[in-house]
Amino acid sequence: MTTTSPAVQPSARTDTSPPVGVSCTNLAKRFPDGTVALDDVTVECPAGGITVLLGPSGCGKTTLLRCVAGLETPTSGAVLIGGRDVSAVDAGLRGVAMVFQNHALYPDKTAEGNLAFPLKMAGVPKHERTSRVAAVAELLRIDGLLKRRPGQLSGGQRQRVGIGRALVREPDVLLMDEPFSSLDAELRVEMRAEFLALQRRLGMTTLYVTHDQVEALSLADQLVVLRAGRIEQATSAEEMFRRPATSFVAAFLGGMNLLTGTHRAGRLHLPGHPDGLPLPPSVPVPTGDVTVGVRPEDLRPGPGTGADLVLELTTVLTELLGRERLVHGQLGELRVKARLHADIDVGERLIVHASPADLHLFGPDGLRS
Amino acid sequence: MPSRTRFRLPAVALLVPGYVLLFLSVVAPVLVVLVLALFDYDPLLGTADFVALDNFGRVLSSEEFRRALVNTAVYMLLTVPVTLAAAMLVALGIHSVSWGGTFWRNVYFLPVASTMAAMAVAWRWLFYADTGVIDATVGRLLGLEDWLHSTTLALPAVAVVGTWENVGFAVVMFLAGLAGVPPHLVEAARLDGAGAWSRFWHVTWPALGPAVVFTLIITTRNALKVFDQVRVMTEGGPVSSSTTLSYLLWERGIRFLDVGGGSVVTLALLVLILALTAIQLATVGARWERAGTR
Repeated sequence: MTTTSPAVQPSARTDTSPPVGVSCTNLAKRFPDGTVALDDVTVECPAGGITVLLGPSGCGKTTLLRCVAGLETPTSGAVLIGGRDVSAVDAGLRGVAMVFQNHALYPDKTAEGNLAFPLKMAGVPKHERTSRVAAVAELLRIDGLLKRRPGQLSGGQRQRVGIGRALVREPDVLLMDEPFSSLDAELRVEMRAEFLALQRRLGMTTLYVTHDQVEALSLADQLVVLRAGRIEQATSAEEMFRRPATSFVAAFLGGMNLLTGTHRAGRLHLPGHPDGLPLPPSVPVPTGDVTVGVRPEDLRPGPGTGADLVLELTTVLTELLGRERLVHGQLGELRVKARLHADIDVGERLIVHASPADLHLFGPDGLRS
Repeated sequence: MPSRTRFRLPAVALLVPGYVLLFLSVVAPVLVVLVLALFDYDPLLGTADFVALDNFGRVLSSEEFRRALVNTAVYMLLTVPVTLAAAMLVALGIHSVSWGGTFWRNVYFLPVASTMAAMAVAWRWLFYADTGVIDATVGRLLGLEDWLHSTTLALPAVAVVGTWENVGFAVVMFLAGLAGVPPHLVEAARLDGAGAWSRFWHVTWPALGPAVVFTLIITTRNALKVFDQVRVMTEGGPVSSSTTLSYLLWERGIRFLDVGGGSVVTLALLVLILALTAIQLATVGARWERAGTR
């Protein structure tokens, strides 16, 4: 712990100082009931970018966000904002603002009262409060709704006020906890795009928690996938999609098909598939237990050339997704999904192939090999 | 229309028992009291003379009624604000402890669950002149002695006991209200830079609105009706200095067998309670209404 004196800064800054990064070092959180929510998490969130924390429910992503906010005290480890240790700093003095999943607006205050509240708490004089509230309301296009109470606003409008309340005091770091998950699908996509534009314009460092992989890929400058309190992979969204570090990430992000079996003499022996699957000779698959991953959209119809991996599927189910069709096929005891053009006739038996470049190999420990 | 009557009959059949009970237990007694107030009824002789509004004129203009009215008002002012403030502090305390909350809630609720008359006997003993616990401690420090035989301290002594009982009730009400304060709102306020006092004032207090209004109305009503501890501890004395409206109505109607006069006091008390409740609902009750739209 360094000194606390420089930590106590007014949380409402009016200057346009450059954005600061957030880093967590060896963060662990164990709840009194013994649940380990975070287990030695170290992550760097770049200044001015969006870091998305992604994972299934119970993976610790919200706990991590709450530790950064100061709403949760980590069992061990440190949180640094702009290089200074804020572990012992009160939530209100960390220069962070948060947008809650259920918006958490004060029900007794008007939209205006909600927006002005953080400024009032920071002792900003009234005339300045009014102008800053007006500015943020215009930014979020809620200037016509300022006199309404949360109960009189729609879900999307409430979340706009929630974002406005977080932005009005120009926080160093913006924390968002599944902010759009309670909105309907169409509005969610719209708000997401709007938020992205806003973030690019204002450039505040953002930590964004979601369990929605589409949302994660579209927003993330840096994507962090968590699983059972540990970081599975942290890198750019594109890199993670292209080269998932573990089979868990591969399955969670984009629903990759995982063919887990034993490799012996050029054939992959899968459960319920005793003959084994001939592997393309150009792919350096190690002998023994191995997982071969291939994305549904990388499976193409037909037997391909001799250099490709060929799968013979028994069609179980088809889902029309518009121009494409998701085919669920059976391969031994495994389910394999293929995303094919909707014009292709899918019979009872379906032969698909994948080029060696589209195959991902994982060892028995789930790590990419 | 046949279909209508078919639906109406079961509805009527289901409502009748409730209406009968309500009439017998609430409406009928009030009507009886209203009638009795117009008669000079002597239960021993069995005579009843119609005296029109004579009882009203006699009792309402009497010095003892004026005195009881003032005593009741003073008692209310002594107990209600203290009860609410103390209960709020206790409830916030119990709410903030991480364990033992159930224990403390039960401890504070004990006075409510026990018989007031019996508790008042214990309190009379505590207030016993010179050797009583109160005189031996507070009395020595402040020089206030023999509360129950003092014309200025008898009513406050009764008020102490009334507050002691009502705090338990109010604590339970406030704890229920506190359990309904959304935790994410408190967290949002923390991140917005609100200190403990601001969080209470901007988040907890608005959410407690309904509980506070309800408790205010109930404790006010309890204060206006105070009887048990007056009867046990002071018997309205000394020199009527702790005679409240309820005690006066008992004294008139039962002890002096002035049924007509007692009935007038009963009606006056009823009107007073209804009026105060209406005023409270019209003023602070708006918060209760608004809470419904949260």
